[in-house]
Amino acid sequence: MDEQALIQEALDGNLDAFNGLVLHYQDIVYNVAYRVMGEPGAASDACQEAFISAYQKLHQYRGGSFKSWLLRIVTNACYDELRRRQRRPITPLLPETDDGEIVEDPFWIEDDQASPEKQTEQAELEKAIQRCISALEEKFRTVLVLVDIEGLDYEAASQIAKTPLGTVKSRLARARSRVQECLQDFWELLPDIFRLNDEEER
Amino acid sequence: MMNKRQRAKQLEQLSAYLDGQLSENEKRQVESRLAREPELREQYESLRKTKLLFSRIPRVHAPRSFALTPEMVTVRQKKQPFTTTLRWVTSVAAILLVVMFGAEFLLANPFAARSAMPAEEMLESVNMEMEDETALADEAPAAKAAEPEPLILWGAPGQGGGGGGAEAFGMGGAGGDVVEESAPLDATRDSEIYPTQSLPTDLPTQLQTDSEIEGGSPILGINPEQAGEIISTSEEPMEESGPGELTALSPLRWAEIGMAVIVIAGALVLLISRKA
Repeated sequence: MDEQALIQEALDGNLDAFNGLVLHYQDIVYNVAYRVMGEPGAASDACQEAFISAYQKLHQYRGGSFKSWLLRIVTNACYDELRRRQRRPITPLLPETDDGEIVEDPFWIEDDQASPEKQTEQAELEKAIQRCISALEEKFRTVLVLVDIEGLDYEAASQIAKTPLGTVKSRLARARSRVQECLQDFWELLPDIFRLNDEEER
Repeated sequence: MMNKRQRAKQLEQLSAYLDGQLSENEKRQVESRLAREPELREQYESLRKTKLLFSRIPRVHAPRSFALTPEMVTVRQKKQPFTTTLRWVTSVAAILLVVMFGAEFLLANPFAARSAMPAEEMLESVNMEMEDETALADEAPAAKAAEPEPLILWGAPGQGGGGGGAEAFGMGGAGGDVVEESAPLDATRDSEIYPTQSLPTDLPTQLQTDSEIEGGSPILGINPEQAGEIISTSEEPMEESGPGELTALSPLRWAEIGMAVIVIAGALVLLISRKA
């Protein structure tokens, strides 16, 4: 994919060229949105808003990493979506069990190679981690998602979150520490090697 | 014993060390401490395992295509400029409204204007007022002889009260059956309350009985001879208010009304469009 050529064509009003970029980056953008928002419906909304916004602001793109530029737009869209949902809480349209528990969409949880027990364990662990991430304040959550989940370096996270490098460093440390504390509540779910303290200490 | 700040700094260093984000010097310091301090090593291990946990959660894929359609882009392009413009217009109108109210308040209220003075000017103005009052007090005995004494200032704060007997034409306060229980018209007490207002010292210290005040002045049952000049401040505004009041509004007031209408209408439209 010739990214620069697609950007140039999109700037000339070619929507198909822009959609080429959308299809290339939508998984990364959605992954970030999902981890920041914590649920698929909100992540989809934020994602769609981000791509529309990116198309309209494309003339403001001044070179550099297009991925970082897109991720900055999606994190802003996530903040907007979070505020909107705080004003008007939305009940997620997800299937529920008889007990009222939401059934996770198996689309991304499914691991063909794992046994059903492993899959359940994995799903529970993921849910626990996501719950701890979602419990963080937005500013800490974003940095943690960008660095620890998306695997970006501090520099890129600093550009995307629009915060100095030192702030990224301190926010990340605090976010990790808080998730670590939070995960203690999900002790049983953690695989042995990830248990953070010895059994005797508990 | 480390304080909260030091603990946060230590955590930050360990976290950055984990990501290889420390300078060579800082890195050596951390490594040396890790070798010596088991507690620090344990904290580092916990952080490392937490970071490792994040790698265990699978990447999620986009559940659908987010490719844009021409409608998505055109609808948004039409909507955006209107709300943006309206937001600007409403904000500017709100700011202007506040400025106009502020200006009007300062112009109409000399006290407020004075409170905005620098301290020296304010002191000077207070001194000048005190001098004026002293001068007035000196001139008072001479003026008192020439002018009829105002007994009651209508509309002045804190005045009135009293009330006569059962049949008296009372004004303010609850009229009582027992004359002695009514508010006394004590000249010395009144002069304490209104030091600049000199009252005739020959006023009766008690109210007259019902028979004495019958047919007297409608003001607190005082005889017309003793009533002196009645200063009415409440009449003037009544004369001003009339059918022509609306047309007599100043341009500033019209501008304020206009701004208020813009702010309210703009806010309502924005609120509705936000909820829609």
